[in-house]
Amino acid sequence: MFYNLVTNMIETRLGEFEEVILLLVGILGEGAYAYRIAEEFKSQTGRTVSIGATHSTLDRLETKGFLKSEMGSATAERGGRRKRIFTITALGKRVLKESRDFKVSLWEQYPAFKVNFN
Amino acid sequence: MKQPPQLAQKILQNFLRRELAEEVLGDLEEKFYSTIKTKSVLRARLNYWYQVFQYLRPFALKKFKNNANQTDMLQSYLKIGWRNIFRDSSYSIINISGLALGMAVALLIGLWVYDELSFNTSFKHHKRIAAVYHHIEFGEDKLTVGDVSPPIGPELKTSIAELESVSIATWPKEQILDYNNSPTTVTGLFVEPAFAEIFSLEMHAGSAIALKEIHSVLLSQSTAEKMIGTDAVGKTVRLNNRDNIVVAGVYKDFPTNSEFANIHMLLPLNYYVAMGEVTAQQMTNWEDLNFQCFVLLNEEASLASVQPKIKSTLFEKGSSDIKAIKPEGFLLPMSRWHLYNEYKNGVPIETKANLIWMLAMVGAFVLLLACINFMNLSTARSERRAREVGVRKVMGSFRSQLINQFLSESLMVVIASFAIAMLLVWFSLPWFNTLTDKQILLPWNNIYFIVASALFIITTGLLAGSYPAFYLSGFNPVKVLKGTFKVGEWVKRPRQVLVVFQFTVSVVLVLCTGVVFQQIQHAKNRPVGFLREGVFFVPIRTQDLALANYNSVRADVLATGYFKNVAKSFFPITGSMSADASVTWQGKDPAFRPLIAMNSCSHDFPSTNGFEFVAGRDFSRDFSTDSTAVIVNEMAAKLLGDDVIGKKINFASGIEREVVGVIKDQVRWSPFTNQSPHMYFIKYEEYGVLTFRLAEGVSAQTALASVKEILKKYDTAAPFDYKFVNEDYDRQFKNEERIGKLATVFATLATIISGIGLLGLSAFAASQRTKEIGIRKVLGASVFQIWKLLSQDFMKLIVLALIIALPLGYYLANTWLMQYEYRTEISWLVFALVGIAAMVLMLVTVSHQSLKAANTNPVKTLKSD
Repeated sequence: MFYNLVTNMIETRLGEFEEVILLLVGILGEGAYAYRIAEEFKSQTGRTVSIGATHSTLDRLETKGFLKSEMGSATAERGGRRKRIFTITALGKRVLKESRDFKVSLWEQYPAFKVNFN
Repeated sequence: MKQPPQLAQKILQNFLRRELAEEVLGDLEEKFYSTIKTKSVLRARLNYWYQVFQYLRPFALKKFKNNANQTDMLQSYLKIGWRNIFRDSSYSIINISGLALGMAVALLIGLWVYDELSFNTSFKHHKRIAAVYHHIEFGEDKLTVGDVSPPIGPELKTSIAELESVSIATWPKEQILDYNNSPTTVTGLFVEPAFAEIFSLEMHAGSAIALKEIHSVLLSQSTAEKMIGTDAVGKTVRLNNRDNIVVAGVYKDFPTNSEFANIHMLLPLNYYVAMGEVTAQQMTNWEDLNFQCFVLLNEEASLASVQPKIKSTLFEKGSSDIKAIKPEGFLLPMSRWHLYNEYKNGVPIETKANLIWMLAMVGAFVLLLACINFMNLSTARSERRAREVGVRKVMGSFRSQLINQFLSESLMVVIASFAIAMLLVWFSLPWFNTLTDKQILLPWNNIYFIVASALFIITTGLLAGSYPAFYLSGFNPVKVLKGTFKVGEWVKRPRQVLVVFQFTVSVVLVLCTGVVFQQIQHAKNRPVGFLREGVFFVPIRTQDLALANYNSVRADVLATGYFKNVAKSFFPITGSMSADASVTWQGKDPAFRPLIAMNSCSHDFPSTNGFEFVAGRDFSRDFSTDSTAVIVNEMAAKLLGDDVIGKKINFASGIEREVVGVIKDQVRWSPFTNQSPHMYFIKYEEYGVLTFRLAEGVSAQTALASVKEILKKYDTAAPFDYKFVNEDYDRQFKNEERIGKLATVFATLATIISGIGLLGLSAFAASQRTKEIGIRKVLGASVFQIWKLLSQDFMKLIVLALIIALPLGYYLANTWLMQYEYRTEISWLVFALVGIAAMVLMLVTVSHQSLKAANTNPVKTLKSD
């Protein structure tokens, strides 16, 4: 299932929105900070999301241990302010992989699509 | 202006956690500038605002305070407050009980005032209901009455379109209903079917349509259940031992605080009309002013627009007799029926409403006194806690925590007082209801009541706690702890003002109470001009008794030997009389039409009631001419002019009568008003009352039993009702005695509350000066000198209070007395007594504390430092 082996009190389930954000962080690599992620989310899904909502999810994923972050470089259009760059942790990668495997196994049990899949 | 909105940035920085500020502001700015490239600046700015609000999420918000710490502090406040209450328990008892008493009084008065003001508001259409009233003139006098003649009902209904319904009704009258041979006296009205619609009569069973019938009746639920049972509809009852009628419906009792609270039976006016020729003729007689008329305005109509249409209806339709009294019609809206229905010379007098407002003021003042006390005592005592404040501050307490500490302490005390006040009200409500003749309940579930109570608790608590909370918490701890700190003189001044105010209010209340009782006694001592002891009367309500031969009844009664005399009359000696302006006599100016009160009676009426003659003689059966004789009182004699005895008087009925005697003026109207000219004339009416005068040494019980027995012979169905004249007469003092009792209670409580306040303050003053007293004693001051020292400060205040209160009390009492025509002179004795009593009370209260301080061994007070 989506459960992680880490046995502390932190909630470790991965929600749908969280999963997408986590993947986007991986896709963006060095350029993964809240504003960029929100923009990427929009261009990939066609749905808008506020920076605040994205940021809140990133913060939660970091608390769960799927992401880590550090302050990056500053640019002029940000008024000289630095950005916080997020990167996926090993735990985050494992959770993503588990999630994909679980879904694939579900798809394989679905007879109507079995043919197409193979 | 291609910049992100500054205000939004500021707001964001206000709530955003500091460590997030840089990255978030950066992200939002980047977003802003990239939006500008494709969209308008306005859109970008709006979007910036949107993004800012999107950051209102728990993860991003500043942690303003640690919640766990706050509940801990709250617990600490409560614990310390609780300990403080018990540490100085005598002070707490004084403080809490004083405030609780004040609150209880204010609550009771508040409930009463609310009940009075909400009178008659339970009817669905109460805003559109009105009664037809007329100003009428008799010579100099202008009366205002709700009496109309029956034809005005249909006339108004057809001529005024704004009236939705109109109902003529009789005045309330006791009738006898007999079910299964157990007769009961029930007060009822004869009404038209529209009555049910006007007053939105709520039916419990059956239908109000029955008011269209003749031989049917609607009963109130309580009466129906008492008389018949739960299945009253369809049962047959006998009315006044005359006709059998059917109970066609049972209506829910009218609310107790409404005009018709005592109306338990509604009969169709059709029945009244069908009773006989006389009653049938009444319906078309414009002169017969013996009915009332209720109207319901339609939704669009305004009272002001209908008023002029009603003004001259009666005048135009009436005969010359009616025109002579110049009736001027108007509508009295239902909201004014209870408190504003009295007029004098055509102008409304607001005695009843004034009384309500007066009592409301008293309640507010008593509450104010209690609150002042509470604040006084709280602040006085809080100065002793200056050192505690100093220590707390040194230990690192914030000012806000000290403020919270003091405020929560005073709130605790107020809440405790309120709980006690509620208990007091709960227990005293039955007594209060008896006293005020009401049925008030505590409105536990009324949202306004709860909100008002909560607001009151919070206001009082905050006000009383505000001085220590904001003033003491500002102390410099170094000064306080070094002992160089002294509370300024300025805090003493308002406290003195408050003591003076308190005593002024109490003294004024006591004074007014004294005057109320003086006035009641004065009216009770008024010579009434007839016998009150050992006389009772029995109303004749049934046809059998009315038609019985009076002389044989009389013979039967006298034969028992229990009675000195017996008489029959249309009105009892303590009842109202009919008023007549139509009598004439020789030499009378035709334009002069004084209103004369009339009572027809049998020959024995004056002797049975012990009239006091000043001229002429009593009626006598020995003179056959006495069947047209008249006895007048002194006021009437004055109207008739010289040589009253033997004067011929012409009555409207065409009979010429002769004056045979003049009696002393009697108190036939309220003992508080001027009396009027009276005439008693011989006429043996069918209905009315029988008056019995006991022979000496006969017990009332034996006499009543024998009368009951005799009357049973003439009428088997009538229940036996009787009234003793002295009791019936005393009923007229009920209102004034009620005011007196209420005033006594409130004045006593106000005085107690002031006394409590004084006790607390004197104790405080003495405790503040313990060292001074110790040193004085060491230096040789006597106990008396110290007592004088401590008492004179308060003495000055009391004298000042008396100087203000005595003239003010005189003025208020005098204003109250002016409403009575027959009133007492305010005696200065009352004022002197109250003044002395106030002094003595104050001295006793203060001395208790000063003597205690003066008698303390100085060694004890001086060694403590």
